[in-house]
Parts: sequence; C-alpha cells; structure tokens
Amino acid sequence: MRKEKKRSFLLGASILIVLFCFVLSSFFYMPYDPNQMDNANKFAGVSFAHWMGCDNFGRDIYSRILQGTRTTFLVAFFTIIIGGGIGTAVGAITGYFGGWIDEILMRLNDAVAAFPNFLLALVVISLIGPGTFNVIMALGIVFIPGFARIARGEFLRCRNMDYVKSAKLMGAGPFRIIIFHIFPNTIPVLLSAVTIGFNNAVIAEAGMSFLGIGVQPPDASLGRMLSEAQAYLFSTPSYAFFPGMVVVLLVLGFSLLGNGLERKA
Amino acid sequence: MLKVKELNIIFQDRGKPETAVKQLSFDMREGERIGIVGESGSGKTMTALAIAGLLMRKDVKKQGEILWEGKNILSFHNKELCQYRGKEMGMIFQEPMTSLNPVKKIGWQMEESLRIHEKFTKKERYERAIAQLMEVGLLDAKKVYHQYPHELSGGMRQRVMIGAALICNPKLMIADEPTTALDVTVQDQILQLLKKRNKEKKTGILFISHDLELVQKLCERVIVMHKGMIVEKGLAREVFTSPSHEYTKKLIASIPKVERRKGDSKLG
Amino acid sequence: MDKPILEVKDLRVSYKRGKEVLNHVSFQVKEGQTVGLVGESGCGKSTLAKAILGMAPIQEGEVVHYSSMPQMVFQDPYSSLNPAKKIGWILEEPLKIQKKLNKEERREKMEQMIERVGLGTAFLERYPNMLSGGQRQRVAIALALMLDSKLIIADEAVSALDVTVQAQILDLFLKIQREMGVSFFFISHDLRVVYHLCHYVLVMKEGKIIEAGNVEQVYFTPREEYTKTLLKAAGIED
Repeated sequence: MRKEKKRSFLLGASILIVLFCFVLSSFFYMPYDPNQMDNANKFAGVSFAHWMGCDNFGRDIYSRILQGTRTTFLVAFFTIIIGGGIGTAVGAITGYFGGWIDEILMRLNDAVAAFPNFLLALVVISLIGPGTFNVIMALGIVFIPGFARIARGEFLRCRNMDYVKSAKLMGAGPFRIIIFHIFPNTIPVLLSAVTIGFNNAVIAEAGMSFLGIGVQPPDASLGRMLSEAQAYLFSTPSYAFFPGMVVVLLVLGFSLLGNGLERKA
Repeated sequence: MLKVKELNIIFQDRGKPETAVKQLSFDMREGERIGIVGESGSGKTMTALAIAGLLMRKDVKKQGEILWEGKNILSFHNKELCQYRGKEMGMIFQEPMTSLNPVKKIGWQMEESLRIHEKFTKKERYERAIAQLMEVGLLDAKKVYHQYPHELSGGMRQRVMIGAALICNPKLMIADEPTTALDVTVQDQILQLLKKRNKEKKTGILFISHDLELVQKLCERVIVMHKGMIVEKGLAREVFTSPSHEYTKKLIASIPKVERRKGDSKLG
Repeated sequence: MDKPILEVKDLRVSYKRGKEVLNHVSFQVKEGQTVGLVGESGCGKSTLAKAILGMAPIQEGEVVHYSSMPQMVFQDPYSSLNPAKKIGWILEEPLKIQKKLNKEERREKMEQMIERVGLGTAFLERYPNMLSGGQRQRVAIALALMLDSKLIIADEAVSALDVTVQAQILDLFLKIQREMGVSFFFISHDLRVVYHLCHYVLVMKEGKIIEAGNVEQVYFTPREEYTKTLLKAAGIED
C-alpha cells in the first residue's frame, strides 16, 4: 500500500515536472508566434516545421499549446491562491474561535457552497464579464467554501489539543497559535486539498473557455483551443488531440500527486 | 483446557518483520484465573488477541499452537471460529466507551450472541438478558435493558460488556485491561464480579493487565511478559512477594510504596 | 518556606446548565510544596485545574496567584507536544512569546533545561514522534519550567505511562523540586503516586473537598468514610 502511494506520487510528480519544463522552455524559445496567422498552412498536418500541425488560421498548434498551458497554469495557480488562501483563513478563524463568528461565516459559506461550482462561476462571470483575470476571480470565489470547510475541520480538531492549551498558558495570542502552532499541523491535509483543487481549476478553466466565457480570443488556453477545434474534429483530429492530451496529462498528474500525498495526511 | 505451545507472533512493520511474541508457552486448567502482566510493547495484548482468535489476518505470521480442548485455534476455519468466539470464549476490552455500539440499545447488544449461537424465542432471550444484567450487578436491569450506552457510566458499561461476554456461558473469559479506564472503587467492584463468576460457574479467566498488584488480587497464577517473552511465571503471591527475575523486581519496585514515614523526608 | 504561591478562596464554579461543578473550594499551595488532589472521575478535579488557570467560569470566590502564571503538564504525552515542530522549537516558543531573552540566552536556557530533565541536547533537533512516552513527558516538564514558573500543575501527568517509566518520572518531579524549589499541584486518581510525591493532600468528592491534610495524617488516620473507601480500593490499608 505504502509503495503504491509512493509510486503514484513519483509518477504524478514526473508528469507535472515534464509539462512544467516544456512550459518553462517556451519563455526562452517559442517556435512561432502563437497568434501569427498563416493562410498557406491552414490545417497543415504534422510535419517537421509544425510538429503538431496548424489550426484553421494556420497558427502553429505546438506554440499555441505552450501559450495555452501557460494560461491554464496561471489560472489554476491564482485560483488556488485566492480560493485556498481565503478559504483556509476563513476555516482557521471559524474553526479556532467558534461561536458566533463560526455561525455567520459558515452559514455564508454554506450559501455559496449550495450552488453547483460551475454554475456559480458562470453567475460570477456574467456579472463581471469574461476574460482571463475574471475567470481567476470567479473560480477563486467558487473554491473558497471547499477549503474553508476542510481547514475548519482541521482547526477544530487541533484547537483542543493539549499543546494548544499549553501555548495559551505561555501567553501566546490567538493569531500566533493559529499560524505557528496549529497551521503546520494542517499542512498535510491542506496539501492534498490543493492538488485536488488544482485539478478542478484546470478542468473548470478549460470548460469555461470551451463555452467561450473564459479566456478570450485571440489568447490561447487549452479549453479555448479545444472549443475551436471542435468544428474540425473529423477533418483535422490533430487540432483537438494535442490540447486534449495536455489537459489529460495535467489532470492525471495532479490526481496521482494528490493520491500520493493523501496517506501522509 | 487451554494450552499454548511455543507461540510466535510476527507482524510486518514497514516491510521489516517484527516479533511481537516469542516462544510463549503456558497451560490453563478449567476454572483457573491466570494473569498476564507486562508493560506496553510486551506482547500481552497480541497474545490475548491470538487466543481469542482475533488475530487471523494473513499478514500476521503465527507459529506454534494454541490448543483449545485439543484443537488448534490457529487452524480453525471461519465456522469453527464463530462457534469458538462468543460461545466458548468471551472477551472484554479496556475501553468501555468504544466497545459498545453507540446506536444500539443495551438489551439488543446483550442478546446478540444468543441470537447467533442459540435458538431461543424472543421472550427467552429477554429473560436471559435481564437475568444476566442482574448477575453483573445492574439491579435496575429492566431500565438498563432499554437504555443506550451513552446513558450509562463507565463502570456500568464495563458491567454490560462482561454480561454480554458471559451470556452464552463460555468456559473462558479473556479480559484485556478491563479496569484501566475505571475509577479505583469501580475497579474493585469489577474484580469482585469476575471473582464471583469464576467461583460460581467455573469460568476460566485470563486477565491481561499492566498492573501487577491488581493481578495479584484476582489471579492464582501470573505470567510476567517483557519484550514478547515470558520472564517469570508462577503463583501470583509468590511472584509478588519474592520475584526471581530482575525485570519482575524492577516492576514491583516501580510501584510507589505507601508506608508510614518517620518524620517527613520530602520536606527535608 | 511558608510563603503561599497559590491561594484558592471559597471557589464556586458552575457551567450553564446550573450544575455545580465546584462547591466552596479553598486551599493553599506553599512555596516548595507539593499538594495532591485525589478523587474519582467527574468529581471536578480537572475543572479545578482549569479554574486555577482562568479557563473556567468562576461564580464566587477567587484564585490568587502570588507569582507568575502557573504552567501545566498534561496527561497525554502524545497530544501535549506539537507534532509538527522540533523539540527545540517547542521549548523556545515560550521564551519567544515573552520576549525577554536574546537568541544565545534562549539557546543556553533550552540546553540547560533539556539536560535538567535527563535528556541530551541532541533531543532539541528531534520531532515528538521520535520520542517515547516517557521522553515526551520529560520534554513536557522542561517546557513547563521554561518560564521560571513557581507553580506547576500536573493533571494525571504520569497516569498514561508504564509503571517503570512512571517511577522515573516521579523521581524527576522530586529532583526538580529539590533543585529548583518549585511547587506542584498534582492531580491524580492514583493514591499511591500521590503519597509518593505530595506533602499535603486534598480529597475531592462531587465538587467539594471533603478531607484535607498532611499525607501521613490522611492516609493513616482518615476521618471520612469516602477516604477510607478510596484507600481500601487502592489496596492501601494500615
């Protein structure tokens, strides 16, 4: 069992590292401008010049995937920062203090969590409009309740531990206790929540861009590319295949990583 | 009645084999009260579980024999095991809070092993359960029968556990630290209860404890375990008053003595 | 020697549901003295400890501290040390909170204290899960001593330990008292342990102190029936 988890962790980590290296390399070397149209190469197949082929505007798919993965990473990363950050803070405060703060914040939290994630993100987008930044905001808000609930549970569990009592006796204030004494103990659980959250963020971004309310053209994102490729699924399957593959690998990578981290929690 | 022959229990700890019990042998006659004493990690609980037939997991290796009336428990099939557990052997545990099912009434839990092992009518079961509750000192049996575990105190729960373990009249009762979580006065009552049962119905008692003094109060014979091995065995009184093994001596010396002091040394 | 460290005067504590948990409790702990509190579970022992530390709602009476806030040693050595932190961090934390010493002074004090409780300085680099129950309890004692408190409250501090380890920890308590002159308020259900350690003993039943006195006096000439029952159950008979 232990070995399996370790293997899962290593496999997930290596998939993500490889993807990450590709994305990183794109900052130094991008074969083509991802938005450069080229009529001569419309629907070009796989070749040495364009080794993943070209799309309906003759843009290099490989370059666009690099660009798109960057965007997707960016969205997922900041979504987690916002959702995970605020969610953990809310959970920490409600879990540690309890009482009326807990009541108010958790009811608010329940209200947000009552909507299906995706639907709520759509509502937020329809209020603030589409665009990369707005997608981050929308998904960030949607992710708060999940993290808040997990963090609250962990803080509730830890706040009655004797080591917290003893910190209080030494004169440690509540924020010192939350940050230095309890938080480190919640990291294993939060970490596996982060990997799962990252995954959901990747899928949600792809989904929203696919629906046309996420990342706007001409910017590339993995979901955006899939949505554009949809019309040419049968004529140029490579157009949909490569971005789709990257989404699959990303999600798989994070799932495996999360799985591997779980047992330590 | 019970014969343990060169029992070894080996389990896997992070891939490394760890021997919890080494070359353990002892006999137990019908109606005898034997105590196994040891500190945490001595293998006493493993031994108890193995004898109770609760250590059947494949990843725990067991060598040697545990003979129950001539038959080896370690080679029992599922059906034989079910017959053995509950019917011929009853067991109680340390934690009276977790060893009763919190969502079931006391009566239901008392009757469970009757339902499994006997073909009684509902009324017979009820009468048996009430009688059993009375026997373990819960005189308000009819009320207790309809209560849930959380409505009872720790001592009452442990009485219920004993009652449930004894309801099919087993020949052997294994008690794993049954009084550790209880107050001293309640502890004493539970010991009296076990003793009474032993005297009246000849139920053999295998009492597992870290407390040598307690064992001495209840048991005729005592086995002292340390790091998986028997370091000393013999009549309880003799082991307690004149221990021969170093470890037993240390164990006895560790019990704080209450003797009248001349003057007050602690203040000096 | 006779200077009081802690004085509890006519203390009454009850929680919301109106049930009285502590009923007119009064006693004193003097400098360098160990006072034991015995009683069965639910009698209000832990509530008294909480009330002394200001963690329980006091209805009447008062708790007077004649020195800095007492520190506490808990029963369960597995939950009293933060599992995510090294022993060094745990021991340094109270000093950091109090902001009295600089880094070198803190280090020196930690090393001194860890050796005082019979562990080497190498332990400062270890995590709690690498320590045995007895070692953890030693660290917990060192932690309680870090702030130079004159009173340590020990709530069933040796109850979860094996007898041989328990004996060592009891000796450690005695040694620390000898060397540092601290007072202990020792709560336990184990009458033998209390006898071994304490000068003065309080017997508690249903929130009241029903008998109090010098250990010798209480153990060998108990006045109350309940005290006699407790002593008998613990196998202590004259």
